[in-house]
Amino acid sequence: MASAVGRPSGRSPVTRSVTERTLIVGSASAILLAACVLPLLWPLIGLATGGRGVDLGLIADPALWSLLARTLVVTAAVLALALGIGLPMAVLVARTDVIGRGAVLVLHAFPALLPPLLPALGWFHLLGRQGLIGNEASTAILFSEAGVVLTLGLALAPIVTALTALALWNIDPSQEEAARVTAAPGRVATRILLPAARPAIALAGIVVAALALSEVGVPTFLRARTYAAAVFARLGGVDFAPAEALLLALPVLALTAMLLVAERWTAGGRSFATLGLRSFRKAPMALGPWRAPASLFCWLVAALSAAPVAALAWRAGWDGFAELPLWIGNGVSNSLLPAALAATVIAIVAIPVGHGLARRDRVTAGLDIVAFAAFVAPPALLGVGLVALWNRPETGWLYGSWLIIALGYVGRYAAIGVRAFAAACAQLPATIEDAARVFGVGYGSRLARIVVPLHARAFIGVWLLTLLFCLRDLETATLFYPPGQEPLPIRIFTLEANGPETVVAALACVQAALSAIAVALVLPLLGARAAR
Amino acid sequence: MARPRLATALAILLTILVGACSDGPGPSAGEVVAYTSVDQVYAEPVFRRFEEKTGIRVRAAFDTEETKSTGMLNRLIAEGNNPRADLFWSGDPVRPFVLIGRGLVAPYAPANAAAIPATFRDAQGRWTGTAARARALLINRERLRGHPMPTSVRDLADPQWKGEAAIANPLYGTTTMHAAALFATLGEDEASRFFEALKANDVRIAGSNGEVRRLVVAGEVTFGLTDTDDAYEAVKDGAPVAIVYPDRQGMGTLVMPTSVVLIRGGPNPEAARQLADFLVSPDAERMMAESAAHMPLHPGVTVPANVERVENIKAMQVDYGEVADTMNRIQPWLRQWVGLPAGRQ
Amino acid sequence: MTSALRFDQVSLHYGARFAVSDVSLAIETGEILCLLGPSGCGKSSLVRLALGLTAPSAGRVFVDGREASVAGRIIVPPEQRGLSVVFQDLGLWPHFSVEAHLRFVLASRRIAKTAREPAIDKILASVELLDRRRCYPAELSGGERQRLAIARALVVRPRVVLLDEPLSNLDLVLRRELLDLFRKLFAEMEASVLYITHDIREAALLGDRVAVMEAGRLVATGTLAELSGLKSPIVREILDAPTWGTRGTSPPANHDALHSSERANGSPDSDQ
Repeated sequence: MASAVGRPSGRSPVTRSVTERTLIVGSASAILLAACVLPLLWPLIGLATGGRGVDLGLIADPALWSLLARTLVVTAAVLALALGIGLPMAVLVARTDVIGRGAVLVLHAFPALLPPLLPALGWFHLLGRQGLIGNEASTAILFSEAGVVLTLGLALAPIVTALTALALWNIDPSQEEAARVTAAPGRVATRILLPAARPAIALAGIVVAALALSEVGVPTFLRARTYAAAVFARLGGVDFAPAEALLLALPVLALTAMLLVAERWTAGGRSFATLGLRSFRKAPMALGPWRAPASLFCWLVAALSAAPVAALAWRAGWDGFAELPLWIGNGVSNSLLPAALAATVIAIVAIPVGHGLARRDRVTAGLDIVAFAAFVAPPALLGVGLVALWNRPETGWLYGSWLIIALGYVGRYAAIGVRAFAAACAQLPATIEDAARVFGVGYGSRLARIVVPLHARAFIGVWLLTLLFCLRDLETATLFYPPGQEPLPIRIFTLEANGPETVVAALACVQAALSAIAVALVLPLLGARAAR
Repeated sequence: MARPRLATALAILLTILVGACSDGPGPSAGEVVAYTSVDQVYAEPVFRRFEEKTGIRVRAAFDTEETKSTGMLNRLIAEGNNPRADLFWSGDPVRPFVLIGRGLVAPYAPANAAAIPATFRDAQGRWTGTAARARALLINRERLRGHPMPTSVRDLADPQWKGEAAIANPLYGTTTMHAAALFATLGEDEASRFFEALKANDVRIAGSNGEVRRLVVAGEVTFGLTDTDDAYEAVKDGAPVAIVYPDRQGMGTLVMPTSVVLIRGGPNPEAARQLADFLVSPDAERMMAESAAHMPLHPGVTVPANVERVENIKAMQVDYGEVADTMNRIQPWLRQWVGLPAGRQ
Repeated sequence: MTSALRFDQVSLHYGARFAVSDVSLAIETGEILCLLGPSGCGKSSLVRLALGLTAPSAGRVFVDGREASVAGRIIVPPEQRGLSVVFQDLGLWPHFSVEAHLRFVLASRRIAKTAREPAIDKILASVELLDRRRCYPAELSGGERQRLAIARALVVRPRVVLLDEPLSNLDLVLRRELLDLFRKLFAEMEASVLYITHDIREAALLGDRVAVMEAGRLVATGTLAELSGLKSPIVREILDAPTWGTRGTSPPANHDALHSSERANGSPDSDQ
């Protein structure tokens, strides 16, 4: 033995691994700094350098707090509806033998691929007084806070369904099988499956709550007053006061911090299980006599989810689609390019940051909080900051091109990618990496040779997830897209002003198709076995 | 199995990105950057015509309906230190004053400006009006059911129309301007009484003027205050509606010329002047009359049958600069009226 | 002579709970030290402290006489300590084949390229995995995985090897087999070994010296013979468990004896 192997031929300097780590995490931090931190903090910087003053009395206004309370009630209702629909759907579709579960999932997921204002428009074509099945009563319900809750709840429920279903697919099959020996499917679902997916559900909940809280379009369209709209008003041209907008955003940010703490507490020290490595193809649970009613429930939800999209297609008609070439412009490529770049950057940044988060590293935990703040802050606030930060002669190459849209997407949606990748990392026993460390593998090599190969599917999943969020984005890029290069959702909404309704509806269908095609192209990659 | 697929995916991604980079920021010779709050559906064909005539490419950014007029204005202010736009074609004559107040405007009198009535342009050339809209009442004839036609904006506050009328959110768009014009014309007291009366009369607050149109067309209300272009859109769709230019007997109808402003320090000043010349021309006004029912301000421009000529209506006599000032002043009041925190008093 | 691995008044606590409390312990060069104790007594924490995966709350850790960790700080990171380990759950890399595991660690330790393949052949022969070299962990049996983990730990010819309950998941026959293999390999390698177990039988078979831990504290160290004179209840409990092997006690007569001893020991294997 001694003759075969020499002692190590040289020891690396003590600092090598540390430098490597500093370099990699530092680069990721720099990207997040440029896309999230500085833009968000810019109003403060502007203030310090002689910007317009802030009226602190603003937050003493009781009207503000009652509006916040109102908005919170709406948000809570949206969350409750999304969970109420999403959780049973996830269990039924992921783990039982309901009829046509693949088709159900596809139909159900559709509205989540659109900016929520489009399903709202679809509901209007359905339930408005002149809609397909509309009457006085349906209009009254639609144009109220109840309408906002219904529209947003249905539009955001697929996020709960998808994240929970992914977690359920990745639960150790022995846990479920052990329970099925003694308990009926309903009990297995509520006592074993859902508790095991608790971290994923908590993440889905916080994403839905954040999206509902920052949504401006739907409440404005359906005439419900919300807090986010009040912040937006603070950035209205004649009243341009970013520092006050930031001040108004503080309660929302504080609330988010509380949600994050609640989420950590819910998830506890347990490993996350959202986007997984393995795809166990377990036999679904047989529901027996409950199969028919459960299937009915699933199809009902699927029909409700798809209804507004169908209504848009109906409104578009032949004419709308026939006129598409006149109006679509470069909308599709203007959407795809920045979204694809942003998804790629986020997926890459998510590797060190998500990995660190899963390993409870403090620096990356800080980055996660910042990224989350950028996700939940009113998008207009982030937008104004990005303009102030990047619209300079020396950064004209960036600000004047579609790269700025990609940067904005990175700022807004990095949190999603980081979280999803962290969830995947947390599923692997730490000893797999610890072993590599002990045997002399440095930080960079561990990421490249252990973490990324083992999480190749999660990486693709993160890419797809963030791509979808970027594709459906409306609010972030509005303030800074380069003239003539507007992404499709923005084109839809600039055309919505007096544009032909049929064409707008047809464009909305293109928007849905675009995301659906992206899913169809990437999903097979997720199905492929990435690791043995 | 996984590796080739991954490779394919990455190859596709790479192709996309490479393709994208070749389309990157080109040289700005022969192009002009225009921001506009004129609806894209109308403005785009005008820009296309300009491109055909001059060979100069127009790179445009448009406002969305929900952020009407404030989105692009925000952007111009936010970009103020390093202007990216050459020209702002405002959907109304008031927003330019925000830019003027912030020193973001370069004076220029377009070639055809002299033919525009003096009310609708700035003597110093800081803004020049062109194809105009007006604020009109859109009425659903079916829901009217024999009641007399409303003829004044004051009818919005008339108890006989309780819950039957709509206006857009007065914090945004042309409705803010209309509110300011009323405050400037009627005086603070009467105007604020009028707005309180609107509230008491359960006037519905829509997200936008387009939304007011939808409400009227759908018969959810009997009539609403909206812009003429929105109103004509409803007529064109064959909806059972009528358009009324309000207050022909009294204070007159608020006319809102779209207005052209050159941005100080924009990257393509020469092309910007050419575009301004074109936008303030009978040619562009005719296009806007035909597509968007905007009233031409040049005399003698032929208009479609359903478009009023500016000389045939009674225009409210306002100083648009004063309206702009008023608009600034009444924002906190309006916010309170809408039910949002008022902020600075 | 410097110790291969030395703990100097090391403590580790999470909040108010002490996982390791004031432990001083040295493993001399070429020595096999078995660390015994019930589940949850802090044995695995001690391994993580030695490897540099956790910083001690107090005290110091020396590797080869070099100060590697001090209170609250890791001076030499794990990848530069030159240690080897077999984790309780092995920590094999699911995407690497048997030989890829070995190549990866040899390359990471910067062993000269020409020396790598002979080293791999040699260690695979020793652990009898030559014909399984292209297999992935999922395709190996439990015993084969264990042998792969051992091969991975030993192929780099470490000065110190730490084994954290490496046999706890295996059946009796496999344990015996692997213990014999360990004895053979350790003797061949002249490495210093810290062997963690809760099973006196393994310690009896392998250990030059035995250390006993209870509730984070080191309660006794010495040879088995020295320890048998002690009256400490935990030492008695551990020593009185039925044993098999070479050092003075006879192997159990049948499987039933082992099963009963397993129950007496308490079954949970996790130390965390």
